[in-house]
Amino acid sequence: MSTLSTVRRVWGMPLALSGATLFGLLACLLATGIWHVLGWLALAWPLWTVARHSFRR
Amino acid sequence: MKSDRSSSQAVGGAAYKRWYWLHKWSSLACTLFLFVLCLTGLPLVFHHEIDHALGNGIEAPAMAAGTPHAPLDRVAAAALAQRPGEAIQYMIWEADEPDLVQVVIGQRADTPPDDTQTVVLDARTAQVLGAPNFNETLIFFLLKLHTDLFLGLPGKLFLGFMGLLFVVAVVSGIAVYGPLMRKLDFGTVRRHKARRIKWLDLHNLLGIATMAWVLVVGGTGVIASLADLALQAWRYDQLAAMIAPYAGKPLPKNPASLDRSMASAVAAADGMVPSFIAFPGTRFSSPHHYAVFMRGEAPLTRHLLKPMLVDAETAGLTDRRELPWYMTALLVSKPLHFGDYGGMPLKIIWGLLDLITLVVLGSGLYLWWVRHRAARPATAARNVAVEVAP
Repeated sequence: MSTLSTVRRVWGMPLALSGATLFGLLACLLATGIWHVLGWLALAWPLWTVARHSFRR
Repeated sequence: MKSDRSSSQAVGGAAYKRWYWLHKWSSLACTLFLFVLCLTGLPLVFHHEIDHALGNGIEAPAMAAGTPHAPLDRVAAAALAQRPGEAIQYMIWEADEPDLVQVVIGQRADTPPDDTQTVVLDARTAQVLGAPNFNETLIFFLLKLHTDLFLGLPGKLFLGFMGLLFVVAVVSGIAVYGPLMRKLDFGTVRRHKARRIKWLDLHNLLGIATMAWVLVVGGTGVIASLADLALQAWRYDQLAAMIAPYAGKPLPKNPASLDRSMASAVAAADGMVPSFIAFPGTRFSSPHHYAVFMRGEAPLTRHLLKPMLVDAETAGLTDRRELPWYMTALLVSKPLHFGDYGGMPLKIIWGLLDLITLVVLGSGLYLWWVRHRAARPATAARNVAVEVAP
């Protein structure tokens, strides 16, 4: 397994979830209307991910 | 001990060990206080709803939209009639309660905040709606625990330092996450292995999935803990420069009309709206000025303030400046810490992320305890069997 693919496998999801979190925080802070909805959805993604993996049987 | 050694040898060398050491000790040092911060912070996210449920909230009665506001001088007189002979310190308009005005009254202009009384009035009729004893509410108790442990400035700085340790713990936790996960897929929870392994996986998953939020809330919390120092710096820096020409002048004997003073500030404020007035002699003003703090109305600028100094004898504008960077940083960090800027869904998200953080703290403590116990010779033999193989 190459180093690059290991890095991608280990850090891909954490970085994507962090990006979504920062987008959500800023969308709610800097804009209104539809951006709030997009912000909520972006912030809900890490929550959903945590729930899905934690409660999987 | 053996399982400790084998796991750290399996995942990395000296760098990993150093990060692991940092993660362990920075976490242990702050965990107790982080529990307090998370447990008090959770209800504080919903302070508005809790205050209303407990009957401590005050709402403006329904009236036709656009009903004009009463003159400020009338509002001030009505508020002072509740506490004759005392002094108004602040008059405050909250962004999401446009028809309410809060008037903070103290025995003197410089009475400390904890000894003041807030009177809430209808901004349209100047009618007193209530004088809540905020200092006796549950929310006040939680807020004091959350911000300074009832210890004033030393408590704030101490919690700020704990916040800093927490940020170090998160960053070092991210550093050890990589080596630990090299052979595992994201989100793997080895629930059929030993309980310690399962909780290690959950600790890693919950921690890494929420790291951005935790760093933002932790970082802005550290900034908020420096609020008193930033305010003090502003007073000695910008405010001192703004009021230097008035040095030594006494409190005005016949204060000018509040309405005329406000008109002077609004006329020069480029469409901004008032957030609060600091009266002469308070911490946010000089003995000779009304300091009118204006805010914007856009999503971001509604959190930002611009002080306009109005001569309290002539009602004429004497100076206005942009706040320095450290005050702006403080003002922007507040909503990002409280999570109160994106409606109820954002508050619920904040609450859930807070709960996840509690689980990360608890599982971290548990993992430390299990290893600590295993490191003692008497129990080491029993734990040899517990390996960290994926």
